[in-house]
Amino acid sequence: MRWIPVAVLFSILTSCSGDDSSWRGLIGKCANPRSGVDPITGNGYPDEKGTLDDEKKFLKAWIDDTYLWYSEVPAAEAAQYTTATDYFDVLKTTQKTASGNDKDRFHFFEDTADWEQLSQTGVQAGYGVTWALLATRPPRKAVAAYNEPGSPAANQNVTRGVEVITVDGEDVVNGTNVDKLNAGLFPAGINETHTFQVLDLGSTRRTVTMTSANVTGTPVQNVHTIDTATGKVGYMLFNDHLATAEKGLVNAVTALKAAGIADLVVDIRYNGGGYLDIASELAYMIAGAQNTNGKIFEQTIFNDKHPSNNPVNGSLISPTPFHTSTVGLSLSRGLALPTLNLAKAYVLTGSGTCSASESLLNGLAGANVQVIQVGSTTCGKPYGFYPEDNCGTTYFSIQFKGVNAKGFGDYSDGFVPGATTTGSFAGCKVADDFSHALGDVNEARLAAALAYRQSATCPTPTSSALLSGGLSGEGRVFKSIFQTNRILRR
Amino acid sequence: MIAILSAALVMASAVPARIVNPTPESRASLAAAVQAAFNGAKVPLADDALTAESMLVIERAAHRDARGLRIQGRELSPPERFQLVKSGGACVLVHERTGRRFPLDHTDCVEVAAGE
Repeated sequence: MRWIPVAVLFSILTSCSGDDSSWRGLIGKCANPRSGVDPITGNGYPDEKGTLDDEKKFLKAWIDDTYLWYSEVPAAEAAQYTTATDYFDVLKTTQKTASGNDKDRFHFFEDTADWEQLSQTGVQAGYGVTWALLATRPPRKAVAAYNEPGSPAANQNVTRGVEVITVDGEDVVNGTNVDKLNAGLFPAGINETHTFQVLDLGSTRRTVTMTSANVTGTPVQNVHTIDTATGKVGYMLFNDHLATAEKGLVNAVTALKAAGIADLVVDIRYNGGGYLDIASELAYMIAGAQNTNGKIFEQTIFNDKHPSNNPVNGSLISPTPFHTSTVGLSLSRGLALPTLNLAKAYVLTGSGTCSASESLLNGLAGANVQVIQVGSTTCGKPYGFYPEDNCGTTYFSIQFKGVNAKGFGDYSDGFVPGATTTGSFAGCKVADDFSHALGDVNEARLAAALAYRQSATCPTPTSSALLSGGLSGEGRVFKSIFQTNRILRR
Repeated sequence: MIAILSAALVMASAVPARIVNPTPESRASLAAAVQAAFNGAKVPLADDALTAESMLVIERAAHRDARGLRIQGRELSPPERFQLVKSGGACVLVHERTGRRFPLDHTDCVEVAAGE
């Protein structure tokens, strides 16, 4: 979260950075200036009367200066675009990755008022269930991926693998009223009551009614050990790099260390990232002092115009170290972190494993910790940005890349389990198995990790049909009410 | 001078605290304090906020893109934090970044015991 807007830093920047780029002088010149006070800073908005052209000039200058791939942005005639956001949409690289994906899949903008919405860490309106959408168009399939302890979903036993059949009477599989489906599955606020017909894993149909509430997410769950013939294996489900994860991870590692585990399985299949410091802390807790001594966790690299200083805040570019003590996100700052001192880590991944979560894998590899990856390909986001507000719109444009202690950060197509390309990890491709609880030794990904630990071999790929009710696959997992598009579709 | 000394003594005796027996009124008071700290912006809080610990952490709500992925997946800046303290019998919410203090009405709190 960036609490001091860039505009406030201008005067600092102009004195400490040699590059007083023109975008700083163009910011806040708006066709429709805002008035009033920014609720986060308490300062008046910096807006003054300008024109649409001023807003476009700002965007062009900002991209030219700070965009990671500024030299690949195609020429575009600003006058052809009727809004600033239309123009922003084309100010990005059109190149492809090696696999044919768009190189930049993260260019984005949002109303600043929406972007600045705050909440107690991990608190959001809902039932406390994370849905996995295995098919978003007919015939649709929506199942529970996991729930939050003590939530309305947990109280109604809407656990992993429970399939939603109807929402307020509308058929999920083939129904035409998708607005009704989306409204019921993803309530916009608290105190919304909706009725669902669900199918339990045991094939029991039942009706549940849930009322949305402010649910507190528990980012680290299901911490336990698994007895094997070759020692105890620790397991933790780590779902979000929230501030509260600092405390959860320290408690988890402390408990697993006390249990004397020989190996660790970290389940981050649904972890889309968050605080990079959390990833660094966990990497250190896994690897320990000896493995990380003298190494950095992640180095940030900006475009070639800015080899030394961060172009946004002007500071000298310095790496994120392996934090050896708490940074103070949800615990007091400076507490020594417990360590497992492992030379190898088993990590369960999915397509939702993204950004700071991918940094965890890459950072461990940089410290020569062997990573065994089981699951599916990660999202492929070794990048980050500093959101920039201008005239009420916040723009997100990739500005830096993160590399590990070995200088590796080229995973824009994601980490592929078992691939042999540079930077990849040994392991197994295994579909997500919604027919077993997370942390259950029979859950396909965890079972594969445990088997790989014994024999360094992968299971024969299992078709969806062979798993209970066809409940496997990848799907898309949705956690938040802050979505940009509809989720279930016609 | 006396007033300054009194204030200093009150500050010195402030100890980390947690809320006990929360009520609709105490929740409203906490919500109002946080809202005031953010210049009127409403911030969703859990009903059990500050009942288990003295630290309240506020983040930007996690926004996700059309694929369900966190937009800000590499967050580099720290969250906002508040500490609840018991000070001279009053429950006071302290905004760490600004140092602003917000006494909470209708709220009972107790000192956080060591190890809590």
